[in-house]
Amino acid sequence: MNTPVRTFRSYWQVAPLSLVLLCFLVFPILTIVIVSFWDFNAYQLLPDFTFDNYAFSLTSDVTLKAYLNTFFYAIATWLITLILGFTVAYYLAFHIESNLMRNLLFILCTIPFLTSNIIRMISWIPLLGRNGLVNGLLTGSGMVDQPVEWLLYSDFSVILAFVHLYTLFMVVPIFNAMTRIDKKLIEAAMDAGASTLQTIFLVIVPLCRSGIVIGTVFILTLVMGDFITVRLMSGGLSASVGVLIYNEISLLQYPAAAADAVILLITILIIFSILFRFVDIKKEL
Amino acid sequence: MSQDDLTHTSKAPSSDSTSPENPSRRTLIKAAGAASGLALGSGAITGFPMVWSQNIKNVTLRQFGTGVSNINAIAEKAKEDLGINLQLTALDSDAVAQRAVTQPKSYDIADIEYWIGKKVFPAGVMQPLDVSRLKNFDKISSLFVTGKLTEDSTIAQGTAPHTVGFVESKESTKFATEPTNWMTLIPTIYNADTLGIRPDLIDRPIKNWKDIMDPAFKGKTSILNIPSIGIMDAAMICESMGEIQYADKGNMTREEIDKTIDILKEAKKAGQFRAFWKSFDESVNLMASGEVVIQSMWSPAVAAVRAKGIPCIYQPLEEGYRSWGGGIGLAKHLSGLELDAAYEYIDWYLSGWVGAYLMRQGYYSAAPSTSKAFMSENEWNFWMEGKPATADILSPEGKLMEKAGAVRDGGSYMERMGHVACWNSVMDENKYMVRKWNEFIAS
Amino acid sequence: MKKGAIELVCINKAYGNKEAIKDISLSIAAGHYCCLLGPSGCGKTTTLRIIAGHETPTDGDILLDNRNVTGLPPRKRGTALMFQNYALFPHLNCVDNTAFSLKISGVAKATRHAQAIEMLKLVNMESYTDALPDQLSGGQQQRVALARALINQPDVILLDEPLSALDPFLRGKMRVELKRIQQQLGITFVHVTHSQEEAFALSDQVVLMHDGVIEQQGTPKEIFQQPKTAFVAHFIGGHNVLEGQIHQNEFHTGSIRVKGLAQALSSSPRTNVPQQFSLRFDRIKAAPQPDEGLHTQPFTVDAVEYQGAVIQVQGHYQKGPELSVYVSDKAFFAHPFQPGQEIYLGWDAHDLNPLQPPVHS
Repeated sequence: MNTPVRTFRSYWQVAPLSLVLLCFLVFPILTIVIVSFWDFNAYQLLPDFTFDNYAFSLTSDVTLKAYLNTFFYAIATWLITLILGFTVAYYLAFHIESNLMRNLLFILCTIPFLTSNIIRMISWIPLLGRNGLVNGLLTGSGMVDQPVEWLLYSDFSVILAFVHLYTLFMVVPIFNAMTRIDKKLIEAAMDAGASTLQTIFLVIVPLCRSGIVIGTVFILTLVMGDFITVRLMSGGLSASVGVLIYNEISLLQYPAAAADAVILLITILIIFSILFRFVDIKKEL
Repeated sequence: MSQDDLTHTSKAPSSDSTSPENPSRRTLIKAAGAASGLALGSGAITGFPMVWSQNIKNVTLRQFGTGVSNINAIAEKAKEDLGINLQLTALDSDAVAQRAVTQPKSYDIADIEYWIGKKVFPAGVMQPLDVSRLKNFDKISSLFVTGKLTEDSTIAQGTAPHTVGFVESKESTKFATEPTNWMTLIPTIYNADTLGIRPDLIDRPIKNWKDIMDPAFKGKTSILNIPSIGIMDAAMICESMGEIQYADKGNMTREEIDKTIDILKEAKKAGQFRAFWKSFDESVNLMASGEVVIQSMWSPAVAAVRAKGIPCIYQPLEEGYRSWGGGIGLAKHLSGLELDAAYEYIDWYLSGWVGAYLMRQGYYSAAPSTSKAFMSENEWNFWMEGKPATADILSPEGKLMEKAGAVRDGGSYMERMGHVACWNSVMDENKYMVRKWNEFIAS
Repeated sequence: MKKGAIELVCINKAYGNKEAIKDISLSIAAGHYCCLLGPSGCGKTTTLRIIAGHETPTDGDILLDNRNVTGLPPRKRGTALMFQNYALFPHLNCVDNTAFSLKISGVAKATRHAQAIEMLKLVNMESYTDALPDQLSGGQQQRVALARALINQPDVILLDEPLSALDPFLRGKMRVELKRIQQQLGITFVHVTHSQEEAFALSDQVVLMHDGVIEQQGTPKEIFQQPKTAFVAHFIGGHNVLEGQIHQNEFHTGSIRVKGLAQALSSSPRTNVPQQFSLRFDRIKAAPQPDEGLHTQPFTVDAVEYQGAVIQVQGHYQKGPELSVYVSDKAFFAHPFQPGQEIYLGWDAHDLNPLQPPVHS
């Protein structure tokens, strides 16, 4: 029954969403792409069609370093949140039997989000700082003579903050995928003589693939687009791509920021297109 | 200073003034000043007679700027004295520059720093002020008119306010070299910045900017990561180290920028810096927690650290201060009654009450002489003259800032503002400098 | 000597306060096809899972070939479980699904694939080696599941309702297939089902369970010919259950009197005590007129159901029992009955099968 009236009506049904996407996604991105070709000086934007912004970004050592740094953060955060998130999700899905308990533990996972970004970042100081709790324990117990400096304002603290913040984004999709696994499959694996580890790697991990990929998408976008965590937790000592863009924006260098944003967008899209080679996300959802 | 984009609307009750418009306001202001001088109160001048024009009552003006002078108390007082409604929006300095250029219709009055003005004014989004309409123009510190505090002082490097303080004509966006009738920004607030230190954690005297690079403080120093200001502090440091001699620290050449950044990079690599800060709160936390013992700092941040009971000194240095100044200017679109109200408001700003309020926070008033009438002798002597306080020094909110007997770090107005080595500025090579700065941060 | 003899000794299983299995003892001879039959919730699946090692009994021992395996994990028992709905790994194709346990035990890829294909051949699935479970029909999935269960050459295959997800036609086909494979391999099959038809068709030994206890076990023939209790008689179908009393070797049920019972009773009947007998539908003669060998009381027909080879006639005696009767189609269509009509029934006394009182009160 694909009469013209029906077709027309179905267009109407998708219209609101299309409109929203057009106004709030397509249009802003187009604007960014257009502005990325403009010129600028200290005072204002100069409409133009120049590749200077791209030429500078793509040839600059700073960009390269920032990207390497960003990838490092992204991959390290991804790996740690994957292991942590998988473990937590596994525990929640297969070891907790009561729904109430499961919900309670889920709420526990959201605690990092109950405080504002700034407060959370500042609270790391009394914990990890030179005179912080951890260093107090370490020096107090005689494990070290001097306070450990790399606990704060270092790559370690940046990744720690990311992991603290974003593990939930790994837990939820993996947990979701796990709940859809037939428990009989685990018995079937046991019946075939598989140990717990073998069951995890040969049965559960492959069946959680969609959840892992979705979690990966979350983590990579969040980390690669971040500027505030990197700035605050590295004490401004390291720069990610987001920090570069943020710096440019705050100095009114919109075209340069736009060009960097476009490059970042393309980079992320390339990563995701590779990622989605491994899993048909539509089928798995 | 607040990083939040907050809009404060004054909630002051409208005053039911009965005074008719008075043609000779200036004389009355003087009288009022004298009267309140007798009152000797910090802000306790409620019986201030109304002398301001009545037709501007209930006009609403939208002012935005950095949190430094965007203070609710000022809006409330303006409502009380003038009857105008002042809507305040506080942003950080980068955001202020953005907003000023990109959304000129969103404000009536811009409260910006002079170096931001240097960026914003040429964009043609503001109109200059006719100084002949300002009764208090001649009270403005000469620092903002001629650039000299006294006849024989030398003009500091950087974007000295007087260099961008005037344009040639009403329609011009070109800065004049001499004072003219058309002023871009009426100065409101300014100060001299230096390094803050933790005297309890440092066991030697700090005298120079280069001390921040002392290996003894390895991993315990910080500078601020706002490129246009950070590069200045860096220049003060490099010059103090004897590494570079700048022609103009406020307008460096590419070679000077390269050299400066190289020195910074090296120090960063060697682990000299604990962190770079970008916001007021960060600088306070770094200092208060002891993560850092010497860093570039702002005056109220030092006060905030001290307020926690932690010793902190705003250390005067031999090379002098890095200074900054802010002013208020008019948006281009302002006209008619609102323009009149804005002039009225700006004149009021210079008339003393606001200046006294700001001075009590540790800043300087653009027209110090008018403020004197609104301060107690003890306050004036402590803040302006650098004399020991004879009684406790309170903030405008009534909080204890200094105990009796304390002396202001750096001394008197003349000692501090007379030792400005460089003004905050925006360079011709700004774009290049920012890229190099990013390189430094990413290194 | 065949392997795969199972012995359950006094097995109990409780979930909290609820006893799923009460004191079950059972032995299954090696190489037999045994069906655990019963309504849902009777404990048959639990029994199977206890044999498989996926449940631990609260009490009791499991012996496989005289080896106590009670504490052993599934793989160490020499059993293989074929799950209800098959539990094939959705991410693995047929070969990898089948070869899964070989992969676990570290068999090289080429070897295990060869063996898997061998197994798939046994279940006629060799042409679907690369298909994923999603791409297979229910029957095909089942064959793969069977291949997967067989690949380790277990002594015992445990099947949990293996045919319940199939349509009736396929069910019949797979039944034949299961029996063929079982006989070909000569190993023990323990098969859980709620269909007596399936159990009778396949089993050497039927174990009929009810409420966590074994109600009766034996060959299909023994069970059908001599159901032990009223529950069994009802569950397996085709049996009337009559209640009455015995007077001087005569069984009275309401107005019906059946003479000469003696030989069928196992023990000396206690007279004047309520007693139950079962009587197969097909052992009752029916005629429109009173005749020799028929009871003289008329039987009122309530319903007539055409079932093909036989016609099931339901009716009742006044003040007497309700009975169902199978009449062969030939006899029926010679003298058809209508509901409401009165007919006459008769049966031989030795077709009355005395029942034991219910196991549980």
